[in-house]
Amino acid sequence: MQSYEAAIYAALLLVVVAVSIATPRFLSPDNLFEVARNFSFIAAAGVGEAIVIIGGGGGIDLSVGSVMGLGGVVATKLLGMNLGLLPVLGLGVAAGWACGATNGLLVTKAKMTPLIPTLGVLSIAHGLALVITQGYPLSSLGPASPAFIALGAGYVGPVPNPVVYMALVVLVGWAVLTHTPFGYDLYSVGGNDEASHLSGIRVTRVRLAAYMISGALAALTGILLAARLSVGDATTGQGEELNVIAAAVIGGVSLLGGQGSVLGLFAGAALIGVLLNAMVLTGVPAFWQEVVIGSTIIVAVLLDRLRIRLARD
Amino acid sequence: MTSAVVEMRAIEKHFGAVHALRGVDLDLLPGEVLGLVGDNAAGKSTLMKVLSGAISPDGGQILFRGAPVRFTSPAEARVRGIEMVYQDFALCNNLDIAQNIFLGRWPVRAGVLVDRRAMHRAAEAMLERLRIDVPSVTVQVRHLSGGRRQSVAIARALSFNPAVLILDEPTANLSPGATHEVLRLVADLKQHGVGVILISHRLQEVFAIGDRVAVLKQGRRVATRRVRDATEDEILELIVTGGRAAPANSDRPLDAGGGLESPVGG
Repeated sequence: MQSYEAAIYAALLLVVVAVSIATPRFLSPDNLFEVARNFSFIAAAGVGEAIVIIGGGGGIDLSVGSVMGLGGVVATKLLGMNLGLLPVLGLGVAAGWACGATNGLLVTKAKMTPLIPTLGVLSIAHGLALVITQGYPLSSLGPASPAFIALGAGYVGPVPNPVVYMALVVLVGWAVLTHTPFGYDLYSVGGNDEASHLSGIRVTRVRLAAYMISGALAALTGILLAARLSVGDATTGQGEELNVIAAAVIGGVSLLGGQGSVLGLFAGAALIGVLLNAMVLTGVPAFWQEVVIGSTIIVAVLLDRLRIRLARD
Repeated sequence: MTSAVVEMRAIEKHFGAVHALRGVDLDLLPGEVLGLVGDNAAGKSTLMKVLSGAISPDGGQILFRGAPVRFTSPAEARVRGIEMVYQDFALCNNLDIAQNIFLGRWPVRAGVLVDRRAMHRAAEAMLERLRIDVPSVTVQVRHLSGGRRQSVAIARALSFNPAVLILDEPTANLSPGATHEVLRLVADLKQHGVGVILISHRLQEVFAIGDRVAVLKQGRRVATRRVRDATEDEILELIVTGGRAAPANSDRPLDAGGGLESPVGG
């Protein structure tokens, strides 16, 4: 696990060096913060995704992109109804949490394969966001509008707020997974749910919590994204689940569960961010971006399989 | 004879049309090693899963230190001090030795943080006391040999301070050296006052470390012998024929149990 993380950071460094040789502009502080801000949303939502995947049992959350959109839409809609910033944040996150709870209950209680309920919730969350916005972007954000927009567009010193937010989420996620009983339970459940159950770990509860965390984090991240764009739009976050899952898998989070870390996920998100930025800087048409991301996922999963095979021998 | 730590009385269990346990009696004395033998369909594992709370019996009674008990889950049996180590080790390969020993019972400090140092120290002390030799408690169990993995599984069961430890084929799939290591560990448990029920198809093992041996045949207990008063041949014959004295077997062919799996040696 440690060695794979080291390899990912080495790969990240390699790509950064290559890109900065190809386009020296890459290393300018402005561009670096721009890159970090762009992948901050992937990394933050990715922490929840990683928690779901590490919990095992085929766990995956396909709904994160739509839930990001729903979170942003719920928040901006409520702002437009003149609610204050804190209740808006709370209710927006609650909407995501409810999506996560739905996913988690369908997976753990109804024993559905995680792909199915999370695909359903992907559609439901997007549909609800469309119902709320009626298809139009929400841009009249009421009296709390300046505070809200500052949340996503502001800076702490030279650092954009979303980057600060990502750093906090990654740090807290790392601490929870590596230092708390919940984190230990999660890796146990992901490694062997039967053994965990026999040892008194409440497998169902741990996995349910994982989906709830993923939903809530996705919504919070979506709210930040809406704040940065200063508009609530149902299409925001659409397709983002692909980047989020890619970041986790590239970062060494095994789809078989029980393996991977938040720090690895962070490196995976950074790698995607740097690759996307490099394509922009080198003038690769934007249409190719999805091709590159998709290919990177497949390579990462192949490496994951290879790693498992090597570990067995 | 009420000094038994566990008494099972007339235990019945059906799986659909299969009558797996037909009124089985079994008792275990404190600090003894009781071998539980029989062919594949004899009901050994089923009987032990009843005792460990993994499955509920359809009839009969379990007495723990003379008092009737009823287990609906392994957790309830654990509270009484009954632990079972399953045949497939039931370890988390992605975790290290210390984490496997403390699975789900992480030592916590400051209310929310897992106290890794305390966990490692306690795991080291436990393995040392059991004379289980591992390079480091921070090694992932996937990197351990079969014998070491089995020892870790037993160490975890012992960390609950059980009065009764059930081992389901602990030496299956182990090399001779690893088998010796595990048997030495089990024999040592007597000194800790732990009663052990050893499910095994290797009679040599039962005769090497057992005090008594109980023979199951088609869901019935057909015999219990003191190991020092019995011979391996006698037990083997009981496994195969169920014993001439057992009337239940007169109405069914001898090969009904089927698949006698190398009862001696291994």
